[in-house]
Amino acid sequence: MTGIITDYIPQREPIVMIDNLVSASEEGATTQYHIKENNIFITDGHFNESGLIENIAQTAAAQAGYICRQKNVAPPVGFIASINALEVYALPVINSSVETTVTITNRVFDVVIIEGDVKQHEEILCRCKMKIFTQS
Amino acid sequence: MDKSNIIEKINGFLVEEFEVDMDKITSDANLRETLELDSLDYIDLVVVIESNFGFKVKPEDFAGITTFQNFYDYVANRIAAEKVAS
Repeated sequence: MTGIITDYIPQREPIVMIDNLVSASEEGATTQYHIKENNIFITDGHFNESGLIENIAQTAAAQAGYICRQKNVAPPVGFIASINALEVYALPVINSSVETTVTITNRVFDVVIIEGDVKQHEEILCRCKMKIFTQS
Repeated sequence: MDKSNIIEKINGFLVEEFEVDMDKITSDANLRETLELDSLDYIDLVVVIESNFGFKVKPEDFAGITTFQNFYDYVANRIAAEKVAS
């Protein structure tokens, strides 16, 4: 997709945890991320759990940012309200890439409920559900 | 679906979703206290209502709901209203 990733998300370096928006729709989005050595979420040579969660949250933010740009409206500010059903099967190593998909399962009042998974070579490394409070 | 079916269905998903003992659910018990609902749990409650009964819930709908009976009445009234509207 066109544009640089910071066109779609509010985060700035060194907190940016996605590189490319692969696809986006009203229902969800997919991003890619290459894990560099200087990433702030590296622990013992691996992208840690906090980084994976941030990666999923930023994929959700990119979805909202992309849709809002398409509609020429300001994106809402989003806050992680809760994380449920977190499962981490493996942590990706430095200098590897991951692909992250977020699916919006529900919107209730000002809360968007998503399911996210992080994959590497089609293998799921991490998945969770999140409630994201949005403030327009 | 009659009222007793609605109550049975509601109690079933409340027990499953909020891990509450069925014997704590009585018509005059306080819904929020019995289910130990915080603000995010209300979101889960809305999700299960909407997915089980197919109507949209508004935030202000909860203003008049204190007891389980209030909740049963609200759901039954909304189901009836949806039926009339369709």
